[in-house]
Amino acid sequence: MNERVVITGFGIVSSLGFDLRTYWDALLLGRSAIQPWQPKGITDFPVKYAASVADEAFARAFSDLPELRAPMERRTRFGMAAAARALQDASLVGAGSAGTVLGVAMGSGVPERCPEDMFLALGPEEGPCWRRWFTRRESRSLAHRHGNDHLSASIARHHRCTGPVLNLNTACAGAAHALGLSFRALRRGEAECMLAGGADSVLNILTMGALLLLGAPSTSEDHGDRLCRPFDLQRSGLVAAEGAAVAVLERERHARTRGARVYAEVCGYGSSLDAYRITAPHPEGAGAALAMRGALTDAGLRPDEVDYINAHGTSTPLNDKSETLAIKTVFAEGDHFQRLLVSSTKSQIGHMIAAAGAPEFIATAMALHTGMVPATINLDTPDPECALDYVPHRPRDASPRTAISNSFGFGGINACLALRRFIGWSA
Amino acid sequence: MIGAPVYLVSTALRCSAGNSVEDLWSDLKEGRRRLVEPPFPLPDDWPWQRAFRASEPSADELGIDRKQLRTMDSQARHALITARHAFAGAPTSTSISGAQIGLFMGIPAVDEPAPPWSLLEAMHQRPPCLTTEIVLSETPPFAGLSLLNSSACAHISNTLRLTGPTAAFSPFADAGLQALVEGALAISEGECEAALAGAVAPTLTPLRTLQHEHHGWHKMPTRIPGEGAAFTVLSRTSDTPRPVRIQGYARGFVPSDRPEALRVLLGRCLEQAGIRASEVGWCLGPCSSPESQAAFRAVGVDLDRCMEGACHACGELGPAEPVANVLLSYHGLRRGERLQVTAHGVESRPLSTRHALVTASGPEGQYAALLLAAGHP
Repeated sequence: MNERVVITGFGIVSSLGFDLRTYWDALLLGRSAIQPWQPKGITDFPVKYAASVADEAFARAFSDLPELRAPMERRTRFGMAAAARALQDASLVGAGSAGTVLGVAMGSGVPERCPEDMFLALGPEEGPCWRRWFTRRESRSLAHRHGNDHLSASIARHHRCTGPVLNLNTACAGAAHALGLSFRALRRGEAECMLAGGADSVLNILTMGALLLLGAPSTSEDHGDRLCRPFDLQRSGLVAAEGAAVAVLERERHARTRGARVYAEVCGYGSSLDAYRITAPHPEGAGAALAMRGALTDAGLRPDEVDYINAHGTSTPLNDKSETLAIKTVFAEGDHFQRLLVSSTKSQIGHMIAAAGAPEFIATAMALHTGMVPATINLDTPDPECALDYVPHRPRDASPRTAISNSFGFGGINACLALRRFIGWSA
Repeated sequence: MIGAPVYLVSTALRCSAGNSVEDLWSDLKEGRRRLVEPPFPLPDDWPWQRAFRASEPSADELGIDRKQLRTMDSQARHALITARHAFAGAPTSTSISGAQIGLFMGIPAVDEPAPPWSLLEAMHQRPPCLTTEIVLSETPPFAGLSLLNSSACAHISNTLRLTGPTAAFSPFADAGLQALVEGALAISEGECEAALAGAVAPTLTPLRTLQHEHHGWHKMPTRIPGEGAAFTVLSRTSDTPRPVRIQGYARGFVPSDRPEALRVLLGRCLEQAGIRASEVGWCLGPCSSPESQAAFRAVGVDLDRCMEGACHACGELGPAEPVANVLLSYHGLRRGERLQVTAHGVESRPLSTRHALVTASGPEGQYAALLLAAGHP
């Protein structure tokens, strides 16, 4: 029989906070992490707003973690910090060394493209040289740490993990896939605990330039720090963010034996593909609906048992409309979609790309744990084509019992996680 | 923990040896290495001057229009053509489609050389500085799709109309085997009826050669970079007379300072498959290091039955390498034949048991093992 999987720890690195309490309080207070942004040394980049992590504040908040002193990519630094805090929060520091079968699954995105590195390729007189670039970067002990495996491997090595170590690479659904596959691995007994989540940092001119050419980020200057406005008529594109979030998922028996505090239970996971277009989601959200149905089936939940949806809600014209249609399709019976609460955490923290599903998973679990559903801020002029209860402006005391968290990656790669309020150990 | 049987019902391979596992088998057996000059100059002191390239498929071969072709990088094209062939080879008697078929992939790091060479040249032609104008003019319009990387997965799902469960792993050899493991688990646990699972190698770029140098692979004859892709269709059922199925797996973390973890992991794989080490007739994957050999010896796997596999004939294929090895195992189990590296080259031997083991590891310690069996349970 499959064992229940519970959530016993969280770690977060976001521009809204570097610990669970600060992050959650900021979400409930309706704060926005989005600020004016330009790539380093640039003043005319068309994307004017983002949610970046302040280096000094980050260094202060994690000064107790010696593992962060080694040179590493920004996303790896964020992920290592979040993983350490998640283990502390779960009272599992040193568990790997003590024999707990601990695994890691992380969604990570684009290898860091540090503009300063570009200059390393240039010699004093001759033209650019690959070998010079690589050799110089290597001498800074960074080169071999640019792989997508380094994030999860660094966490695994530091915490003496022996379970599965997975590097998910599914664009904006990466962290959700990592959480979902971790849930499955625990349920079938491949590990006792998993550190699962994501870390990403795209806020450099090279990566943002490439995303800009795809038309993904908003270039609007109309709304200032209220630029990210999912489901609003004036939404204009995603607002990029950087950061990381990691959850400790644990088999019930293991958590119970050690008397762990439980935030919520993970009870289902579904994934799907749109099979539509490489640059646009399915207009009716068919793929998104499949992922949601998959998670509900996996959890043994009826649609009308779901109280809250933490939406992908990117603030792009196409996603928000198609996600709304998908929700209406999945929760059509008895017009349950009219009773559901739906909110977008991205309205406050921006879009962490490959990591995005992880801070949203935390928000979903905390909604179940505390009873408070976080709001969709900046929803001033609801789009008539997005007519659901998006919990506008203020959080709501709604005591949800079950919730799902959506993540949809570019190209139509979807994931959905189902969570349940923890009401006690199995009999 | 592969509860219900999961069979390999179709395979497809694209590499320097050709476009089928038979081609690869033949090149291995004959000792052929189809090395060609890479598409960029190499330093004179480089240990190798040629590499293994796979032919680039055209838009017609891919079954897409030229507009879509522009949105694909080279590795996405290799992945799509190979996935198409695997899919086309699957039995058509079943009526499954769409959401009943999953897609699980191992994908390398970003295909685009980073930074783009043209960008560096543009920077050099003026005082070294990076401006918005330079970045936006020199970045290819669809580079963002390559950066997001899983777009290779999206191209396959769009073309083959697959809407089932999915995951994509990155970037080294273990990622390819993880894709097969998750595909098999998705079927075994009832999430889908079949799954297209496989991986693609990174395209040859100057950056890749330098990464090889960094890992010390450039001095190893079996680590010369290769291009290609390998896919299989996994299914709950198989009506072929000589079916091959996935009987067990294990995955974990084996960092360099804990080589003993490999022995535990291999033991777990055999235990899950319910067989003794002596029943492993062929083992493909990394087996040349003293640590690997010690682990194989400790669990009782005969080292004479171990070889690195596809890389002897088509080079280092990144995530696609273990998938190519799975296809070789499939071929060998069906023929009752295996290959062995001897002092005289690669030689053919009878495969005396019904089981083959494929292993894969990433340079940082991610490790996966997959046990294949001939016949029905």
